[in-house]
Amino acid sequence: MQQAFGESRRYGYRTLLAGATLALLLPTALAAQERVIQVWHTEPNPATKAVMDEIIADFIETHPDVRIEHEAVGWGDLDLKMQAALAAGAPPTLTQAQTYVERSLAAKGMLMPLNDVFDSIGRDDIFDVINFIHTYDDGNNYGISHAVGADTIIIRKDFYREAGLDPDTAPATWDEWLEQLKALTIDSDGDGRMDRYGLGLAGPSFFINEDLYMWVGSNGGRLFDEVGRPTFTEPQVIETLEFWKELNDCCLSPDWLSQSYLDTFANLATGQVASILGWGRGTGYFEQYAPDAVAAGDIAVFDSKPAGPSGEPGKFVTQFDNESWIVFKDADNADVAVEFLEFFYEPANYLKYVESVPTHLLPIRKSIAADPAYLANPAFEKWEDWVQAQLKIIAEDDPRPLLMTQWEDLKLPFTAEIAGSGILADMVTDVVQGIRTPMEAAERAQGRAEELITQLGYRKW
Amino acid sequence: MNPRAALFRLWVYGLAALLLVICAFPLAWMVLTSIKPDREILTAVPTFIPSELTIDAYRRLFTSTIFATYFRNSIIVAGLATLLTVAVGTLAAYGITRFRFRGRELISTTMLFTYMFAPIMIVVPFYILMRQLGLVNSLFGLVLSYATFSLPFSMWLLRSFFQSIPLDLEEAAMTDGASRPQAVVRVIVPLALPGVIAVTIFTFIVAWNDYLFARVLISSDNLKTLPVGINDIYVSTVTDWGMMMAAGVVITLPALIFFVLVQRYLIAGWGAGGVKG
Amino acid sequence: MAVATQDGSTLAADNGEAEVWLRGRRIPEHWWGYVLVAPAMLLVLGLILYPVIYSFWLSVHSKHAYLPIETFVGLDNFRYFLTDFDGFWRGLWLGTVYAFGTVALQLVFGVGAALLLNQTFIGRGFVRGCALFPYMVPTIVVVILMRWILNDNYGVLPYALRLVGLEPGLMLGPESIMLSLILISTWTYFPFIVIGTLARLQTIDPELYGAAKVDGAGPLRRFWHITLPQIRSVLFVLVLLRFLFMFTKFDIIWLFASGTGVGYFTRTLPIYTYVKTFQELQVGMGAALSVVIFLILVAFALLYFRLFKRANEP
Repeated sequence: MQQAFGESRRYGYRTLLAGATLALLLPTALAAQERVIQVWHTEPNPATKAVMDEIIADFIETHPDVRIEHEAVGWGDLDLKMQAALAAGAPPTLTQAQTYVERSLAAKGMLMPLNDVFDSIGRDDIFDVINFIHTYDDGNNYGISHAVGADTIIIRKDFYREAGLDPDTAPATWDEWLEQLKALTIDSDGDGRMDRYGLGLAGPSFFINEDLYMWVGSNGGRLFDEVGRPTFTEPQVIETLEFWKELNDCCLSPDWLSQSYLDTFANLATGQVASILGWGRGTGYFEQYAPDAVAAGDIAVFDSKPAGPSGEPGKFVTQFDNESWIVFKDADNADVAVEFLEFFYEPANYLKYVESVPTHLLPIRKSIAADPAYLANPAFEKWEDWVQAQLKIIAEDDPRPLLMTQWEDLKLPFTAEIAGSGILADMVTDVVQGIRTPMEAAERAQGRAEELITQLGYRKW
Repeated sequence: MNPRAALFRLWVYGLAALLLVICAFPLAWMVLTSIKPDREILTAVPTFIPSELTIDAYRRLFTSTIFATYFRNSIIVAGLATLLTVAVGTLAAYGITRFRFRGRELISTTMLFTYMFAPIMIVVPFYILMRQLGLVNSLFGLVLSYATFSLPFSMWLLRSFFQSIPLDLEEAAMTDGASRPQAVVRVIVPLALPGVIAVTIFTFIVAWNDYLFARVLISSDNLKTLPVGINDIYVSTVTDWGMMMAAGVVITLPALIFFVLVQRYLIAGWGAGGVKG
Repeated sequence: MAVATQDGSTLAADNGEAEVWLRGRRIPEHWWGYVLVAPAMLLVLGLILYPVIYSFWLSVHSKHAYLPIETFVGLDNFRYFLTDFDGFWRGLWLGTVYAFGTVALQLVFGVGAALLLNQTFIGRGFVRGCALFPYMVPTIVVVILMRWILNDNYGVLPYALRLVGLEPGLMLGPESIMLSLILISTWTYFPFIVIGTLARLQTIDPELYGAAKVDGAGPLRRFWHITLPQIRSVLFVLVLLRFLFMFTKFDIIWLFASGTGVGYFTRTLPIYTYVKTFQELQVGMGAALSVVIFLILVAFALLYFRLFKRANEP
């Protein structure tokens, strides 16, 4: 081996060169005969990935000249990959994206209209709110939600009962809610450290953005005005920050900022917190880590959220989870992606998809939502209340996409950048860590946001 | 043994034990968590002695995810990157030490300058370049990236190594009738082997650990390497702690065993290189 | 003195470098040199030079991540950072604290461990292997593992500390996150120093120690006057490299802290570059930041060489 090592150095170099040339030429040769598309989807959980693999395999069977490179990318990495791809002038053909990203890209004319997909499903078979969100001023559709859901307050009924509260009555106002949460924050063994907190919040700026806009909206407030100028210093926002500070001081775990979204589920499962804000995906988690609580029916949700002092009880804003499929107009074979989407939404395939996480991926097709085969899914029996709560919110309570306290915000082209900049999360951190007063934090955030919007060239005031 | 020496011995063993605990405890904890039943993982009071041992987490790891594929990809990429770096780096180091030509002193400076560019800065244009070369979404693209990042340090290391081997040895071999390549192989390589091993390990770790470039360059699920694959498993729906720890064990244990076996060569390699600056 | 060999090439051994004759003609040295170095240089310059030049070019433009349009803005990006106290200067401060903190600790523990592992004792090979283990674990595994161990609710470390009466506070919380980050970075990377130092230690002539002991020098003086001068040149390079690597670190900081809300407290310059480029979608500014990081490191290297040049002489 040692002999060969020295000699092979020179020869090895030659083979390497040959190999490199081959490797460079081969893809090009193959590509000439195939239509290749890239598909990125953001559900990395094994069940959904398996279903996507199946659907893609089935599609390729009927389209033998197509090759699909597909990948499950977590939300956090999507930015990185998408940018690199866009910078290289080679965007993925088909990907999922937040509503504000869809809006941002559409405003720049980068997306392919998906009218054909909507037509192939049949617009009356799609829930109205979906049609509404994805219809632009020019009459076209530039995205289509892969599934929907609504954010709710998830509680442990047993802890509510222990604290002498009625677990079936949702709080109508922030004051009521604070009372509840204070009662739920207890020091059960008298060692001076709280053993359970009333509410568990997730720390990443993505979730702070979520909680902020939902609360501001539920307080009758807004984040941007008619011309898109930030309105962070308006009283409704300040009240929200004050509420958050009070919440932080009485009822949140001191290290909530360092907890991830999934940590909050773990905390609810193990009794570290009595309630959290979350999505239907959590059911699987609870089944694995808190089987007893699940069996006793102690994990439940409220089908409403409390309103703030400047808001109206009963009128609240919660997040509508409706991440969209989008197709990049300039990607190769974009038309194949459109065909794939039409295939994806066919009843047989779409049913498989939404059933991979039934409590989280609610269908956009009315026919599937009413389909007895779908409704017979065992998850619905166990978690009927949770699903019903989401459906009720979607049908009656006008939930809105991320960072949009008002529907007008759909038109803003810079929501993605504001969300990503961390300005809002920093504002909240300033307040809860006592670094600045709510007004100071809001003014600082206002200044930064205005500067960012100006830098992006979208200033209209 | 006089009391002073005995005290010294005591210190040595004590500190060695402390070092062992600090370094190996997390590993041990990882192994332990991977064989605990689920309900004993998320407890306020850590369970040191599980009520039962289960390898269910490992079963889940290999059946419900394509962990095995990620492992294979990482091995391929790291292995090839290492071979490439050693091959190219040794050629270059030999050339630098045995021949005079203009610009050879620039090597050290190149190394330093390369490492002053934060990878995060390079990643997007790197992707663009790879795209133009047709190397995105290919394991070979990753191999090239890792070799490139490891080369500056590796060349510097190997150069110091070769510098310390006197030319007389090659000459002696050649006067005995060997051709140049034969001389190099029979004389230089055995002496340089520790350095080569050191380079191997450094490059392997660079390739094994990288997250950023694997994330950006790969867009097919079945081409992902371990860091990316594990991160995806981690952020997917249900954070399965037992399974995560099992993944950690599967990744680290083989490397650890290899390391224990090879550590004496490794140390000889890095050290001699470092001496000459 | 020319020496003939079988394939017709010869060597001249006058200056430690080779001369090559092939079939009676002398091949210029530099030709061989270039040929051998070419593949390596091709890779490094080819794959790194382009991205670097691109970054420098981009830093004087304004570009949105989604659009292929670049607008020349001169030094505006740089001017912005001059007054960007919350982002740039704070990031610089955090990055400096992080880099100095962890490199200092890596140095102390690395050299300490190397000294220890240079002694003979039973099980030394095994302990050596384990001491190198942290460096081999992929960053994502380290992060998951450490977040697990430091977790206030389920983690074994806070639990153990409380058992002995110490209250660590929230190790992953806003106040302690930077310290926790420094500590786990030290754990992960100190083997790099151990390896280099230990190797050098093994080549120190034991007779030097013997003579010193005879002269009555205690362990501390032996270390200071014998060991330290010998390992100084190795440490010179190791510390420089470690500083470069830690100042430009992205992976471990991002995965450990930035994914959560406490990212605010660990937003070093590389992290800030990421935020600017990939989240605020302002690519030109991100590029400008990376140029600044590069310049800072060049300045650092110059200063470092000036201060410690003498350490580099063996």
